[in-house]
Amino acid sequence: MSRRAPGAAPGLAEARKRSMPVNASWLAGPAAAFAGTDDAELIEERATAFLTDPDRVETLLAPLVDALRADPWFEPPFKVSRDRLRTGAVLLDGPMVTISATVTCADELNRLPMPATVVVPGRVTLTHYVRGGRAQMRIWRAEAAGTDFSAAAAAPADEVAARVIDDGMLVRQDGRTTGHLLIRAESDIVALTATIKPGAAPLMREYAVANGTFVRAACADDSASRIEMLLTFLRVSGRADAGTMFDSASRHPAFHLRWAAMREWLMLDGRAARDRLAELAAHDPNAEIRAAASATLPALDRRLDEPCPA
Amino acid sequence: MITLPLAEIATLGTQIATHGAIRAAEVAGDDIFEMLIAIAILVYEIYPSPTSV
Repeated sequence: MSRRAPGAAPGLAEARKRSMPVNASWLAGPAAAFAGTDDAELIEERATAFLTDPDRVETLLAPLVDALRADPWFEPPFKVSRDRLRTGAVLLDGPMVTISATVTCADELNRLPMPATVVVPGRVTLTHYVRGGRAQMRIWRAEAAGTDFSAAAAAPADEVAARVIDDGMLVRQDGRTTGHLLIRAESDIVALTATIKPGAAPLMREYAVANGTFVRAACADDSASRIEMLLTFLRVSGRADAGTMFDSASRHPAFHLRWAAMREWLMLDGRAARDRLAELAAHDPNAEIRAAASATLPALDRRLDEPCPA
Repeated sequence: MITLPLAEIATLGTQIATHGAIRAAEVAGDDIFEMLIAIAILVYEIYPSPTSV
């Protein structure tokens, strides 16, 4: 007997099953164009060829359109997002590159107030504006943020000359040092964007549009955030036997993850974490971690020196 | 087992939010992670970092 999610219509559940082989075969096609390399330049070259071939997307989508014609319940393998401003679909989400298609509504873009911040996303993107909508692109440049990034010392982002986006333009943006906002379009904007993953910066940053001041940063690497969440889970679960996991994460290239791992470890098993905390205080390449570890070490030592209540 | 309370652990001057807390025109393919991120964004918007303008 087939098992069905509560509330799921039988037609939908069966259509999902029917869609799977079509989608698997389709996904193997475009993904293959980017397989076998993690060389950012080569991926960029292939992505450029993909984006600038006028028939590429139509050919790409044809098998799925055919499947939809044959079966109205067919589910294409796209992650789709939609709000009043933008409708987007991820055409390919591979380990090295993501290709997405978006339509931005000009009326909504012109109606909305200017965003308060601009994002410097940390990745190189290539965008082919199939329809540019004569939109104005405002561009900001920021210094590169490495593993020693400090909010207190972050220089403001500088706005540079804006450009107008015309139909057919291919725009390369190095999101490690630039961010942009599209404003005031004459017509809807249709864009195909390739986001190149190798060589990405560790952080995604936000700067104030008004004066370029640094506002905040987020981790650009989802695996680092997953590790952080899993370490919290281990600590909440009382898994003191997972010390090697905390130790390993305290040596991760992402500085914020190193300290997050140490915080979790200290809240779980201070005695086991003590030697690594002392190492961080003395030798970590990030000055803020050295300062935080040095400030925490005396508090831990006081706890460790307290007489056993038994 | 000796544990150190959160209040006695120093924080970094540079706070880094979870991946996805800053929105970019990019969609990931993981529903559970996205749900967590949606919660993170909510918290982040309600309690912005001290360096927010």
